[in-house]
Amino acid sequence: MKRIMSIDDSPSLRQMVALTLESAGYEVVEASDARDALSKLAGREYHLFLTDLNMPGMDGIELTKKLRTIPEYKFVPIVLLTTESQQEKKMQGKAAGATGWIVKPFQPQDLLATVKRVMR
Amino acid sequence: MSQDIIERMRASFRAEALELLGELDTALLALEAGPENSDLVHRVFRAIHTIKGSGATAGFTHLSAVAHKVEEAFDLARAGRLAITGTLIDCGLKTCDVLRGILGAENPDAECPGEREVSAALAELVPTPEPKQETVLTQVTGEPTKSAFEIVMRPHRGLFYSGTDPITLLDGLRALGQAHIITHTDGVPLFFDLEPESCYLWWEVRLVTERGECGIRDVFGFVEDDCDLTIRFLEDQSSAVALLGNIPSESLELFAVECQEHLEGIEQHALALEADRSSRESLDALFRAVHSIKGNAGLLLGQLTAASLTSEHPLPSLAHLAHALESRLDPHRQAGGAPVEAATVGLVLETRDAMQGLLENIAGQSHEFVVPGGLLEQLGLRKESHGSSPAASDSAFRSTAAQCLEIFENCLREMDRGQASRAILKTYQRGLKTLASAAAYQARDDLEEPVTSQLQILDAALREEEGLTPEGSRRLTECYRLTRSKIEAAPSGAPAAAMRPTPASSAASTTVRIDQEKLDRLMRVVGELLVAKGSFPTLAAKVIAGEDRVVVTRMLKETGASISHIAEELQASVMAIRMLPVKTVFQRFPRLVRDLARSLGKEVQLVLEGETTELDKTILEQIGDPLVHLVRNAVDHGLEDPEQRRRSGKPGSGRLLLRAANDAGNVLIQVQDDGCGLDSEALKRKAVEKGLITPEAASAMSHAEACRLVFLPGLSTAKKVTEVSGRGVGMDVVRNNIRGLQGTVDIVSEPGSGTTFSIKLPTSLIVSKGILLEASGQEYILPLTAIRDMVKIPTAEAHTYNGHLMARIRGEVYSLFSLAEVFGLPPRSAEELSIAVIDSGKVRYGLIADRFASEVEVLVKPLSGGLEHCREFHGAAIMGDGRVVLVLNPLECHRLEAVEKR
Repeated sequence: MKRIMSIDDSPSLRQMVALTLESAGYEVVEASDARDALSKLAGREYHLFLTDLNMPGMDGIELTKKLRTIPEYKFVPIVLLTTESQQEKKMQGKAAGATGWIVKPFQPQDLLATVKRVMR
Repeated sequence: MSQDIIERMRASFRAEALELLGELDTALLALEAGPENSDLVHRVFRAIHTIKGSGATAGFTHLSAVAHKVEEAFDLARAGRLAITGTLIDCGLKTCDVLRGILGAENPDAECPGEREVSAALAELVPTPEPKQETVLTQVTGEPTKSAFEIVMRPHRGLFYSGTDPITLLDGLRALGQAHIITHTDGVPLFFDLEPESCYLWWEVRLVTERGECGIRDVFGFVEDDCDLTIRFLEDQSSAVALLGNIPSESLELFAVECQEHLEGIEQHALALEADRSSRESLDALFRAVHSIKGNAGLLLGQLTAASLTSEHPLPSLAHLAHALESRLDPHRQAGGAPVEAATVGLVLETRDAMQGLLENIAGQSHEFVVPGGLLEQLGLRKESHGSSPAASDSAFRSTAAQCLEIFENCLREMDRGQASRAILKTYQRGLKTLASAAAYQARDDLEEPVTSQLQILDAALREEEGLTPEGSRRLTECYRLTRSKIEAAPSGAPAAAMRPTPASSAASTTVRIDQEKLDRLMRVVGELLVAKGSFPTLAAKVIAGEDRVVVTRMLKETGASISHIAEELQASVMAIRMLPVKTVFQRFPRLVRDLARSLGKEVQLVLEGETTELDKTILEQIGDPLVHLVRNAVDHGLEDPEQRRRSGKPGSGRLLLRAANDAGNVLIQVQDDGCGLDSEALKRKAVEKGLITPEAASAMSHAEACRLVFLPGLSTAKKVTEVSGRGVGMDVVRNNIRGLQGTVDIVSEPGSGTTFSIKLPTSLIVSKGILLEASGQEYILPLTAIRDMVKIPTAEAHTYNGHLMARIRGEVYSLFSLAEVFGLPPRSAEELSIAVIDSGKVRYGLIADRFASEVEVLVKPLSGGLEHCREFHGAAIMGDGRVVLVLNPLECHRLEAVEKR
């Protein structure tokens, strides 16, 4: 089963992500911020990271950079959750090594489509 | 998504939002007290932002819209573009109240008291709300139409670092419609230069889709900046859609591969026929190849149900050309037929080239090829008249029918064995359709009835779950016999049996085809491995039982020895699979030399030798171009005009020998001509003129040394620049290409009697054999291929002459270099010198080491991180125990010192 980590400071968004992905047969690990995410890696295999951009402390872009320095996650797809007002952030995210993005607010089917797009 | 989940999400959002609103209240009040605190502004913004985002996701669209307005205001404040005033804080606090109201309301989409006031106040604060820059996706209205596109995707090297797997992009395209994907591997470097984290592949996709260009662009939305992408709307839409949209990509690929093989066969057989025009064997082989192309193209066309292609489309054109050529050759095959004329061979070759062009159009490698009008006329094909004389069309029908019968027979045989799979039934069905249309064209009404009943049986079998019933099978065989007897009973012409294809004599391998024998050998070795594996449990049992140590140790050694023997065998077998005969490269030369000789007015007799010599596939793929260059040079500059040759007492026809042979672990390829040879004086003059060498160096040069000047960049002795060669570039490129393959090239030229280029190549690039040696306590590996001899001589026998250390080894004098000294390490003095004699043609010397340890087999990896500039080393190898040892490049080890001392 594919394992996905969902990183967002909003519990309701995390819940929505988790419910959507779990109903589609993915295993979801939730993290409330970047630090939490890093501590939950523990060298385990992850197939995808879905991270919010705007988070207290380390933001999504910094987290992306950090993940790309860890050999296990060098090539794992990273999708940023952004809002339409953050166009230039998308570009920053790509430069940091993000694979793609999904614009909030999104519907569950959009999320699944994006996940399928970056993960085989 | 179930209602239950939505409800749970809403409930959880409500709880979270109320908490966030509380936080927001506090933050806003604090901000009012300290408006210059940017942390607070960010906190406020984030809280509103989260409410907005999560709200929209949980289905609170109205709430999200309200939050959006105040978010905009604080976004400006965050950027310092809006002052933090009491009014702004007020708006914030009032929005909190409104949001609470919406959360508590029965209907979350209804307007809430106070909402208008807040939005009016905000509209004043944020005067011109930025227009939303949402891209409006234009919906395609009306009937979806299919269009054909060509997409070329060239990812940048670093694609993988963005976590993108290109396969997901290809999958995305596949999901849009019918995709024909061609993967190009020409960007992949040799193993030594390969960076495993880089993306070297690129793709060409031809796609038939209803989604238009927007749909395609969407697939690449995330990678726009990570790859070069071109999307082209194919010009010939209707045909492209018909062809690509209806034929599975595998069939098309298979067709292209087979067609290519037959085209190569045609060339070979035509050239053989030119040499011996009465050769029945060559004629038959040629005819079969043409016939197969026609048959395959016909089968492919048969799959295009309900879709018509214009007659200019490459596929029908290809079929027509093959058909016309077949008709042209057929009379010669009849009993008492006249031998083929030279002009016909020319026509065959010209038609072959046209078919090649069309095939490239079909396979998408080129787009512009048009069959020359002159050729169409010669073949009697002018637009509407692709059908030819009745006799010819009859013979064409017969051959088509014979081929179909062959297919049916094979299918029936499979069915008898109980293999009535859908694929078999489908094959049978396709064959029947081809036969039906051919029969209709030929007005053979007598065939209609049996063919139709066979089709009905197959249709029924393909519809039903259980497939072909025994009854159906019986009736099918019956109808088949009837069809066959009707076709064979028809009068006139060659018996249909003559068309039965015999096993193809020699097909060129453009794909990796594994020799059955090699596969069998691999299988046998694996079998041995399984047997050997079985002895370990027995051994373990003996150890546990405490049997005599000496006995157990002996058994362990024996088992180890047998496993290592098997491992070697296994490696050899796998390597053998990568090995292909040089024939695959040599076979392009007969045509090349023939055409070249004609265009230059020369007579050349090409002799190929050692075509079965094998080389690694990678090397073979890259040796073609340098060889073409050498062969062109030989024909253009080496060989003289017939007249000139006769004047110098040679036969008018020049002889060009292309030879491959195994040579002590290497493969030696020679290009030898009996032409005029090189003018070493002219070469020297030229080199001095261009400032490549000094006049003194030139006068000291021997003839052999001067000949090697041709490898210098920018030197050409061609008196005139011809269409073919002689632009002063090339020989240095040839040498560099060959060096890149870890090979060497040398030249021997005798004025008046010819030139020989000798290329020495390793048989494989992957695994090298070498000698592990020691110098000043360091270990190195010296590749075996460069070593000619290994000797020990007393130190007293080496003499210093002119600053060079020299010794006579087996009758020849060599300069000696100590490896330790080369690397600036203290040399060790000993009574005896261990010397490896390096001889690679140009470079010959003795390399002194402290000790030769053993022969090893290693996987050489390239050096990186700045070390790749150390030319003394080929790379590094990891030994069995994990140690890393540097692999020497004997050519460069020597030059290092030679330059210093010269």
